[in-house]
Amino acid sequence: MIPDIYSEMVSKLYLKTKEGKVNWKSTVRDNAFIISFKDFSLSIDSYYDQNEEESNTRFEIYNSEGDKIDFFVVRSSEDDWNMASELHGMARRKALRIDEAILSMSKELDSSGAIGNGKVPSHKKNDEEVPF
Amino acid sequence: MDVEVCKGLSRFWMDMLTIAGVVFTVGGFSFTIWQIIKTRRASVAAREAAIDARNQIKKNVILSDVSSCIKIIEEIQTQIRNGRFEAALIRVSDLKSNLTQLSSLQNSQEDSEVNLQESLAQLSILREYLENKVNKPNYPIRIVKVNLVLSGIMDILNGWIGRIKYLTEKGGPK
Repeated sequence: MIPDIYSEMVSKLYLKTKEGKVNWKSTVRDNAFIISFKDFSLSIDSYYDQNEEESNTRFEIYNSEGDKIDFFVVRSSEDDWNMASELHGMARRKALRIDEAILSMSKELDSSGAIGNGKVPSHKKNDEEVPF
Repeated sequence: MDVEVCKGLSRFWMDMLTIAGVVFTVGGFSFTIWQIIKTRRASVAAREAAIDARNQIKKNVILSDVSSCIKIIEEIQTQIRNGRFEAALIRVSDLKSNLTQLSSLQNSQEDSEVNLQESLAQLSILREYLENKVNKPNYPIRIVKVNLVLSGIMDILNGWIGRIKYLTEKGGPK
């Protein structure tokens, strides 16, 4: 669960991320995303714990020298899971620019023009087909 | 009559001497103030020159250190592509300590725009990632993603070099 000392900060981060004001970035680790503050950085990642058979969201805090100074894990069975999991999802969407991709594709689909490069293939009538 | 003339003349010269004394006093005083201002200006200019020289040395040190960090990143990318993860791990640690030293040099305004904080955290994650790979050879590693993150750090460093060079040529804030 989210330790009491982090609770308020995580709630603020959740709200700010929801407003789209947090620039999450991808990391080398799959499903891990990072945000850099003035003197500290915070990473969030999600993984499935095979021993406990449940999903986890992990938060890690790094100091100005890039050393990990603390971490905490929120398990899917815990109360804070929904917020932690949603925060991870939002971070992922922001870092990978998924919302932008959806919006752009949706806009393109709303337009009357053809989608994609080249001509749209038309179905040939039987009499137009080459008989061999 | 002659005595009266002599008295009148001596009073005239006495007054003239007094006026001359006042003029010399005012002149001397002004000269002293002018000399003080000149000395002060010279000491300010000397101080500014010393600060400029110090900043120039600092910039050169940063340029050289940042360039060597970029070379280390290229080296790590090659090692990762060739599957030499242990060697890459050692170089990642070297790079992290070099960047930590560089971040301590960032105290002027122009440098504060370069954020090494995130790069250092990224390197910490990469180090852990490579540590896992070295200890568990079957640990999956995404070479392209690792090299993309390293390229991102390289871009930040190249931007920093460009900024320092631009400010030096422009003669902007030292």
